[in-house]
Amino acid sequence: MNVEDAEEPTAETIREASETRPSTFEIFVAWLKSGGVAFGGGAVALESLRREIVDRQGWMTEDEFSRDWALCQAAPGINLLGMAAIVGRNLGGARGVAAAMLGMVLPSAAITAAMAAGFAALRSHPTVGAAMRGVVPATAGLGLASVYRTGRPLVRQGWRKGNLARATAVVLPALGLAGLLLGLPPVGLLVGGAAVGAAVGWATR
Amino acid sequence: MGDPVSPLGLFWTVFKSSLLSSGGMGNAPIVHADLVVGGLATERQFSSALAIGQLSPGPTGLWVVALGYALGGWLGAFAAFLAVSLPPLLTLGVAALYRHADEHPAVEGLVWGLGVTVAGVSSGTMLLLVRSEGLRAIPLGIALGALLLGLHGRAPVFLVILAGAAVGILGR
Repeated sequence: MNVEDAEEPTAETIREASETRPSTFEIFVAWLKSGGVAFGGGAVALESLRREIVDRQGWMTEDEFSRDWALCQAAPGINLLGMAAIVGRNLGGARGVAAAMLGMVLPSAAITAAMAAGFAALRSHPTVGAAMRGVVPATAGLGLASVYRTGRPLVRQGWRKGNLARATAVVLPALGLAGLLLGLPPVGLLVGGAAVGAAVGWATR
Repeated sequence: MGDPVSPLGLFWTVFKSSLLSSGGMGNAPIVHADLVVGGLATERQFSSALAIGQLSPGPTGLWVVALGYALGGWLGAFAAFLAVSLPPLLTLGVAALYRHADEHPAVEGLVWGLGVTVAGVSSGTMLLLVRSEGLRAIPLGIALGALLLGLHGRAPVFLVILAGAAVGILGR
């Protein structure tokens, strides 16, 4: 190592040093054994992915991981799959994207479908019917908790941007809730919310 | 249920709803409106799919695969799988957009507005789910208990769902 390298370890040089360019197969295996088989929902899958690709493999830094994850929150669909797409591309181009995404979803989707098949076979059993009367409200309660956890940082983000954004942060979720309960189509509510958000973003720039 | 839902119809509902939302269960309101309110699926099929999605490993968002199976067998599961796997590819575009220009107040606002509206709309869908089991003490108590345990964040999801099932069996 020459003197210049030792003097200035910029983000780029650290990145280059840690960039071991894994093979497509290694990328697939990393996602398969971390995210794809992690029980306990998205947060658990994300943490086991971070341990694998940051701590164990050293393919990216902690900061890069956090920044990429923040970006995924602003993209459509399953955030863990978006993460697989952008990190997979950095590691191995188009093949890296496919390897990471497939490693993340294949085992999980197969197990999900198998569980659905098992449930379909047991569905008519009276005990299963009784259990479902408890599972439905439990799932709804967990769903509400998950809405709160993902929504709260967004409302706080609006809170820091002045009165117009504050009012919007309260009115948009309230209108979304009321509109849905009144039977308005959710697609219309979401598109409307996005349009209002864009206008408010522009006005408070 | 009558005829199975067509794989193409399932694909479109799941694709559209995932494209217009972010996160694992953000697509639930549109799926609920199209399939349950539309009379193609029952509240039970919808909520058991959500529960299976919580119980199975990996992203919760794959709950639609369980719904696809319930409505259209293995072909339905595959259609839902494809439909939910494609929209996250747009993250590559979002990443490029953010890298090429830092200041996009309208785009940032659009994503933010969508996110807070999803929170409201999704709460509504979950409340409809609670109501589907009747506004009685036991289901309301289970929902409240699961909400508090979920907010606390320590109790594993499968234990919360198992506890709900146990109360459901004991309370019949």
